[in-house]
Amino acid sequence: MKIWNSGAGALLATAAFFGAAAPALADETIVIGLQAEPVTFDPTQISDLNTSRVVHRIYEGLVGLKYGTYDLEPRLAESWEISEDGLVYTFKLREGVKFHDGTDFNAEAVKYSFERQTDENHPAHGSLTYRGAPSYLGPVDTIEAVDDLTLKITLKQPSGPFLARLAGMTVKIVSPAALKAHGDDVGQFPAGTGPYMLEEWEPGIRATLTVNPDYYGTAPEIEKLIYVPILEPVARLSALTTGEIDLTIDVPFDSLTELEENPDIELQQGASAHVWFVALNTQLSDPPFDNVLVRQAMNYAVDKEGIVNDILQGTATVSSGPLSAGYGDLQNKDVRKYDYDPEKAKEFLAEAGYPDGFGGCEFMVPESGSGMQAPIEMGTYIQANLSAVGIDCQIKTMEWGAYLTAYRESPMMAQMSWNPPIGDPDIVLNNLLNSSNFPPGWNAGSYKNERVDELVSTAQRLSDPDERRELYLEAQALIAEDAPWIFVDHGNQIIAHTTKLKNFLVSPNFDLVVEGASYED
Amino acid sequence: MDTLMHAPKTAAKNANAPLLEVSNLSTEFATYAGTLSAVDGVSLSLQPGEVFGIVGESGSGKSVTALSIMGLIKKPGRVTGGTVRFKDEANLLDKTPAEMRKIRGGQISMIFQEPMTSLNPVFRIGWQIAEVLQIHREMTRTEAWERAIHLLDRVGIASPAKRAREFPHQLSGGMRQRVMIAMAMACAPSLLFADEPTTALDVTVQAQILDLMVQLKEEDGAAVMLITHDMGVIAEMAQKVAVMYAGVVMEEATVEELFDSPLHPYTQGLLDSIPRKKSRGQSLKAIPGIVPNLLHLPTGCRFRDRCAAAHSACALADPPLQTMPNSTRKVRCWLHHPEPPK
Amino acid sequence: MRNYLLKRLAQTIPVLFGISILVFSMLHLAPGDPADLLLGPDATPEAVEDLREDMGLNRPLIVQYGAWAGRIVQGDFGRSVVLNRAVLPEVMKRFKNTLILTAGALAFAVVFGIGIGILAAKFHQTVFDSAAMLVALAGISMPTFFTGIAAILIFAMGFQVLPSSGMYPARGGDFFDLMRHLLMPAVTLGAVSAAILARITRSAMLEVIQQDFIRTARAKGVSEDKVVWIHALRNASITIVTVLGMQIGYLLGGSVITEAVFSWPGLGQMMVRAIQARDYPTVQGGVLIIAMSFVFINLAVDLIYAWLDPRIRYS
Repeated sequence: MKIWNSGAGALLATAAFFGAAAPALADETIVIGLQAEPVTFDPTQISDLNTSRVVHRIYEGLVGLKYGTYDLEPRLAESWEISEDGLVYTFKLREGVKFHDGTDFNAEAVKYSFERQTDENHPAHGSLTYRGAPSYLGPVDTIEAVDDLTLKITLKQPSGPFLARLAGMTVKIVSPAALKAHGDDVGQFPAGTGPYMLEEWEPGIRATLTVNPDYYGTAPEIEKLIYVPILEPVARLSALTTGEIDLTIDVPFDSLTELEENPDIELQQGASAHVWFVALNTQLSDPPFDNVLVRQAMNYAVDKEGIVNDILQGTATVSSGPLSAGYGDLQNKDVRKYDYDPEKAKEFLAEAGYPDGFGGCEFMVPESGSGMQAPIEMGTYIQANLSAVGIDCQIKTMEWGAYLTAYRESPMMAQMSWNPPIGDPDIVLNNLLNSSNFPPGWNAGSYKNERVDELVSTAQRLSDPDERRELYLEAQALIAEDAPWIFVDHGNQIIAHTTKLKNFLVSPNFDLVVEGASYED
Repeated sequence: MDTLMHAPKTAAKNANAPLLEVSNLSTEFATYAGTLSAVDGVSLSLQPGEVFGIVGESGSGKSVTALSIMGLIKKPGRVTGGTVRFKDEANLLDKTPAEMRKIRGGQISMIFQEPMTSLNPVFRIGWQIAEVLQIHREMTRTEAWERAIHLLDRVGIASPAKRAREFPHQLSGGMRQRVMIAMAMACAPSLLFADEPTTALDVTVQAQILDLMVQLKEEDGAAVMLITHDMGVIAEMAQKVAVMYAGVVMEEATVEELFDSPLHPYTQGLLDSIPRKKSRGQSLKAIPGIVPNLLHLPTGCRFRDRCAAAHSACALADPPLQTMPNSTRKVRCWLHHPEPPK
Repeated sequence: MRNYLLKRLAQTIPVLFGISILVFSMLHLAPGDPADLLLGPDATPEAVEDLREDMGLNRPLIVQYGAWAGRIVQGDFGRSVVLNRAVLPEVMKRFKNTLILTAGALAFAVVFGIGIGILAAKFHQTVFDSAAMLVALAGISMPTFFTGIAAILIFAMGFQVLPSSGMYPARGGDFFDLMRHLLMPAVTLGAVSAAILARITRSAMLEVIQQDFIRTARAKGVSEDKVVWIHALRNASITIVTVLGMQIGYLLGGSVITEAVFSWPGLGQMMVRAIQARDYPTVQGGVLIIAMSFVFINLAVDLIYAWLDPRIRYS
């Protein structure tokens, strides 16, 4: 009997070894293939998309984003009031919310999470660097817990993007008890208020999240989320088609058709706030990038449609300005557009005094980089387009880390892309195009239009959304006219998942929001 | 006293039966330039306890003859014909590799010219001797090791227990050859091939090794086939001699006959090249020319190109190995043939 | 022998010291700034400057090195900027995974490489020999990246018999799962080494088989199998071990690509990420650990060498 048993065991073992690649998981679990492993569960310490895709499930901020949009909605704050002068924000907090460690959420907890980052003498400040604090909490003057559920934040000066930033990562609320217990290592012992909590984490192998049984809101249908890092796009594709994973991002471009034809897989392309451009140094007269006609000519010369279709396989839309359709009605669609027209480009060049074009421009291209899509192929394509109208560029490629530094040292002409973490235009228009952010700020082309500066700076201080929108629309029109960049494309997010996953919506901020989705066998 | 040293000897049963009888042995080597006959119809016969010398220049086929008999010819070589009868065994050439392995190292063993390279550098010498005993005597590891120490002692190696644990590079050339002899004599073989056993050794050591071989051979009653180019060694050790040249036996005789009255001009040439007391001060006579390329043997007698006595008949046909009248000696030369071709 | 070991161990100290200087200066002199990379798009130049100050990046290089080296000597490898944890335990955890991968690759290379090499020598100039050497040549010429992707496409996506990547499945993770996940990456990583070993083993064996002592062994009546596997292999293994030692180094280095292709959570993958993010403490700590293991592998190879070849003695 015993012998028979062990024989059968070996047989089963062999079958398991060479049998089906993916063991069937319980209905309520989905496996998500990320491009890289999450590295920490401390929201103040996150600088990469894949980590935030997991951590967004665990923690919440005072405000959140409506599913699939950049629209703000109440989250840990039920409501808020902003004083006339735009300086005092009074938040009414949600009642009866508990952290994953069982402690209560209240105004003191918010104060603790925020001041931990800004006050060097705070008991939970520790030895960490709070990299997001200057931008997210910089405008804050004082934080006051009026009572358990009332929080009053006073700003140093009015800040338009402040509310939108409260949906950001670094300002998510962490349990003070967890901070007291774990200090700098809280990233390994997360305790938030989110719909999911960390069950198991094996760095580099998997992070398992399980639904928070005490969640105050609608409990997600999917009980368990298992995140596995799969670095190689082909392996992600393979894992998806064999059912090892249920959802993934960024599959290889050339496999899109194949995936579309696969009845078990649903492919979703969603708009994002991403923008891909070539910054031109508007202060240079040699090459004559200081001449607006030249910059406009360059925009006419580049076949953006061709780049989107031939290189990006249709996974992007042609750009006509810094803001994408992901911004909804904040995007100005009625701006000057530069359709591909080499003849017109030559006319503009002639009018600018360069009938035969010009040479001597150095075009910086990174070898790879977050959001850079296919930098070398796109760079070469652009180089060829420009050469066709007589503009000769030399491409200089660099490793991403080195590139980021060089980019901020007033390059002549350089590629860049932007994945804004929040849905406020300020983070694009102000950071990238306001003359207050000249190098080493991110306005690498030293673009300066006084009216644009004024519009963007004013909008930064206003808190009324409609007023701000008017200013941003005007700024976008001016920027399009000035063409400080070659506007190239806005990349779409490509998400592939099993058809068993229903109701999944792509979020413009690159998050993978599964709270609203369901899994049906 | 020592059962191992007294392996059964067929010789005792029938004094007249040869221990080894080789007839018409032929071995070829395939080369890119063609097939060459390294051994071309060699016949030899050895009595038990006898020392039989094979002498000749290098390339004459004497080593190949020994290796052919032992079944140690490797590709691209091939034994193409003949028979080898050993004791009561059937033709050794027809035996399977496994059957031959039982004979090799047990009843027939061999020592080689280069003790330096013939011992495995990475194993202790005790192990290398013990291995033979484990194969042929089914001894345990410990028994074989003890026996190996005893054998080292027998071949005259001081502190044998310590030496057994040493590696070949720790021994002198003479000691290595003693180890080779110990290994070859380990199973008290009835036939020992000694292929140039002293050539690589210092002159002083040569005599000791030869003495040791004689001594052990006498004790064990083994026959020895001594392969050498050194006529001096032959004179000292052998009873019978075969002179080989270019794959064939040119002359076969007892040592006395050969040294007193060499018949073949080649044998005469070999003898003239030995330094002797009486000819001290005179220059030695070397045989002119070189051993012919076995792929391009001259027509007729294969020695004629170098032979001072060559005449017209020598080019016409290859002389047969012919027994001299009223004698057991044989010679392959038209000079001594009753009817040379015209 | 003991003196030799102590001497060799003492020699590692200046080696590691040299390596630490080299890595430190290469990292710090390379363009790119951890503060920039950490803060990303949303940071003001002032914030970057503050962070640089915070991280001590504005101090002279020599001072930075001194501070770092001083802590290393006390066993403090610092804190990873990206992982936000102490470097040493993290590096060791990943290094363990790399060792598992490397050991798997090595086992494959040794069993198949040496095995095929011996058989090819034994069946010299037969169809088996030619076919084995042709496959080995292909193995040497194939880049790991290509082999890995091809393996995923064929065995994971095509036949669906092996998992696409990772070290364990999404759920569970016993020894058996580990072996299933190890198979493809280990073979991919070990393929080139197996091919090199097969060729080296074959030629070493062919050379040894020509030696006089092999003829002696045959004259002793030793069986052909023992001639090959004991008498010849033991001699050939001196050459094989030399190449094997170099291959272990190659495997540790080559694991970087394999780990990336198969998402194997090893040190190579961690280092690539750390280099991209200019996570200095992690890169420096990782390189030191790798350097140390190289030194020990070399020492081990030398010791095995002496054991295999009695003509070599250390003092």
